Amino acid sequence: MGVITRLAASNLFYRKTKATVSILAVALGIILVTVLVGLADGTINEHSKRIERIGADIILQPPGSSALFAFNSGVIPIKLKEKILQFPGVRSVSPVLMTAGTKVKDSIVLLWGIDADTYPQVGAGIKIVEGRMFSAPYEVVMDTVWASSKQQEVGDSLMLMNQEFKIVGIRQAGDGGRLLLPIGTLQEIMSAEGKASFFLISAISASAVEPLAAVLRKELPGYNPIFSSTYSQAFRENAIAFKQFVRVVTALAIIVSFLVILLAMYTSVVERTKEIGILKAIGASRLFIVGAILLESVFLCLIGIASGYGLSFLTKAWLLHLYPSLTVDISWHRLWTAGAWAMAGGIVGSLYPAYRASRLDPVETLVFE
Amino acid sequence: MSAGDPILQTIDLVKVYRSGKVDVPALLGVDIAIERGEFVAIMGPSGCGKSTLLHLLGGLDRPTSGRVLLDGVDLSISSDGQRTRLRRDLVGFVFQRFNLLPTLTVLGNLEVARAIHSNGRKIVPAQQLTDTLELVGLGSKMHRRPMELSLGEQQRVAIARALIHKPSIVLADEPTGNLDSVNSDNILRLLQDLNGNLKQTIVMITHNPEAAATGHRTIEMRDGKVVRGGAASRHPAE
Ligand SMILES: Nc1ncnc2c1ncn2[C@@H]1O[C@H](COP(=O)(O)OP(=O)(O)OP(=O)(O)O)[C@@H](O)[C@H]1O
Ligand SMILES: [Mg+2]
Repeated sequence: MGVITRLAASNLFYRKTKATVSILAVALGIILVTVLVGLADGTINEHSKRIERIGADIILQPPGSSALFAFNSGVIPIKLKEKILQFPGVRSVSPVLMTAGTKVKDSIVLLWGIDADTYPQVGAGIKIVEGRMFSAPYEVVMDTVWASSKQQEVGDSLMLMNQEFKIVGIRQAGDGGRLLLPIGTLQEIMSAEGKASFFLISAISASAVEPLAAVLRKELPGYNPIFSSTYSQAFRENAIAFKQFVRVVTALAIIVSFLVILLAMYTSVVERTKEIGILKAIGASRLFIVGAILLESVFLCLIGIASGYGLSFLTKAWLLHLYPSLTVDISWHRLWTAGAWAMAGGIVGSLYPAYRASRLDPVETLVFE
Repeated sequence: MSAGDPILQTIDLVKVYRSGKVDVPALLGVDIAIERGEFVAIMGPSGCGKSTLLHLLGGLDRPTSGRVLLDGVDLSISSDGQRTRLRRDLVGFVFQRFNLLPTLTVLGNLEVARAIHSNGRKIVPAQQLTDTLELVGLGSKMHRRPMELSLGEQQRVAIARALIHKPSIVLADEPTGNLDSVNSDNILRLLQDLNGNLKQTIVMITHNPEAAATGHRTIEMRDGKVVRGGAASRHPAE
């Protein structure tokens, strides 16, 4: 290891508290990005995967529903179903009405109002593991994950949107909403009579799917038929709000590491005026000084980023322990971008201190005490 | 330039520090000349401008007026970068307060200097570092940190650091100021040897007349002026 590398490293270890605080702050930026974005990623993936896994061929979204969760409120008239059933290649159509995130038992959940008759026809259906499917208004079926995390049993009553529901069954988790209730009941509560958020559509055969989508696009201008197989991807690409969110959080992490490194290196330069003066007196060029300061910042960032990675996974584990129904997806791609940006922020932050150091007047630092 | 030209020369050198709104005159017209291979001592009361003169001679700072010629190059009109390069390649500084890097070992301190010199004209072999430490009697302590050394030992590290690249000029600001008489004698003998064997030009500030006597000549200063010994002695040690 070169002596300049050792100099930078030893300077860090020499001021342990400051180094630790700076490293933790950089790590915090990383955790912020990976966990918050991971949470959003996870929620989105989870949500779209659930829709994907239902097994319908096409998800028909209403006009203008490109933004995240824009199909919260019912906007498709149920009547449209009859028209779609006339199109060639259609096997069945099932409307779904979905609420915005609703707080139930201290966590946010999307309520799915479905049509018990047609829902099984568009996909793999609903696998009840205990109790039965709902058959009357104000009955609700929950999935196994929700049942165990909220410790609910068949026969319990449950308040949803200020209405009392009766839990009649538990179904295998994996697709669709965690809480399923009759679409009619949900329409009533939401005052969305005759409306759905989206349609699940299945075609008569695999080869009929694409032509059907083309027909839907032509006959229902503005409507957005999405292939179930590419739903996650389409969902994510259209989620402008989500992209903005990721940008904002990433920007925060950059700013954090920029400020932290700026402050840490600036105080280091001030504390070490003498040492920098001596380097210059020996004949170190400005570039040499800048390099030494940058190297030290790079070390701070690298250690901070590495700790941030480790702590992100710990934070994820801890969050999931506290809230088992959350989904946090930490991808390599996100880790890599968060790290790269934190590093960039740190390097930019160290430029000014490095510049200041390179401009220090050796005489000022050596003669006067 | 010919070999007879002085390696260091100042012409009507003036340095006025600005401290806030007050002007602090440190040098008021200094003319000295130092020949190649000379060993010169500078003496004078505290605050008379000795360190200031030494810093100007080594191109650490720019004069307010007047000229400094180092090996024929006029430092007073050289850029910061040019002065830095000259200092790196030609000069070894030993400071009044030995500024070692506290986070590195003795050897590490010398290695940093070596890294700096390696950007210049002189490639210093690694062996040179340990040799120089042996020379100043610190061969056994090269893996210690400055804080674990006595003041005298730290000063010797600073001296070793100034010598590793065998500079033509050694500028030493009270190199024996913190040493007991035994260590002080060792350092003075070392400087004498360097001067004698390697023909290095040595300029040493000291408060001690006995130390000054090891040199060929003593420049005496008072209140920013040279009062005696400014002109080059005719016969530097051969
Ligand atoms: N950076 C500076 N800013 C302002 N004044 C300074 C500065 N450096 C030195 N001086 C002043 O210049 C004068 C000469 O200082 P210098 O350090 O050259 O003296 P010196 O002869 O080396 O003294 P000593 O024997 O105590 O080291 C002093 O009055 C000092 O206060
Ligand atoms: Mg002095």
